[in-house]
Amino acid sequence: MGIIHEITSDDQGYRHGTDGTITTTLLEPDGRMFKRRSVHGVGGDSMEEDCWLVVELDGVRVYQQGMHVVVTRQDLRP
Amino acid sequence: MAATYQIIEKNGAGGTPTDKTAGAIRFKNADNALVDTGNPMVKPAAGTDYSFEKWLRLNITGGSYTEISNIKIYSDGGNGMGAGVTLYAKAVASYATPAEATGTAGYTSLFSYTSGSPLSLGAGPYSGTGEKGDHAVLMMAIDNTVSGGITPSETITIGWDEI
Repeated sequence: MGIIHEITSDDQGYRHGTDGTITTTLLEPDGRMFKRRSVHGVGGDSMEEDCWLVVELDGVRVYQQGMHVVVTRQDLRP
Repeated sequence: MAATYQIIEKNGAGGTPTDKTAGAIRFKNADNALVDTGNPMVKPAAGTDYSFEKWLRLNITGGSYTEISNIKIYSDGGNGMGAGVTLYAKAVASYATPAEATGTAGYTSLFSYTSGSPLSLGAGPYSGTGEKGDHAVLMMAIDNTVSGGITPSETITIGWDEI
């Protein structure tokens, strides 16, 4: 299994998503934070996993994987 | 923590599962999960030869998570299986014993489903362990322009949202 983000909430209700290196924090209670996971290569002899951290607020999404961050309104998939 | 999972192929009347997360799926003229040369598809003199259906599903085996949603399946959008070979897909909620397909009604080309336009296997939300979402039912069709032998392989992606 590759690196899968971990999402936690603190005492103030702030949500934190981390891959162990980069932590993204959502301060707004009406936002959403989730992991977008995928398994590539199904049907073949090798598979690869992807996990993106997704934070959505007022229709704008922040996608984070490794050192790459994308801010968009698009519904992107790995 | 995160959910642990398998992508399973189901066969037989009882839907016996086989873990295909990292294993080849062989389209053939029989209902089994074996990756062998038994029961091959046959190049037709005319018309189309359809494979038996392949019933795939996301199976959550454990781990720790709250909720899974938006299960999707998609391809890279390019059919690399060679001339005369097409894969079709549809989403089906309830399992039925895999049968030989008789046509493409109800199906759409798998290669029309891409990351930007995937096939939904259920919005959820789902929790707990076990099989989640709809089955992805795939089948292969070949016509009389195919070359003999085993086709080049293609792969699919299955994804979901998780908190």
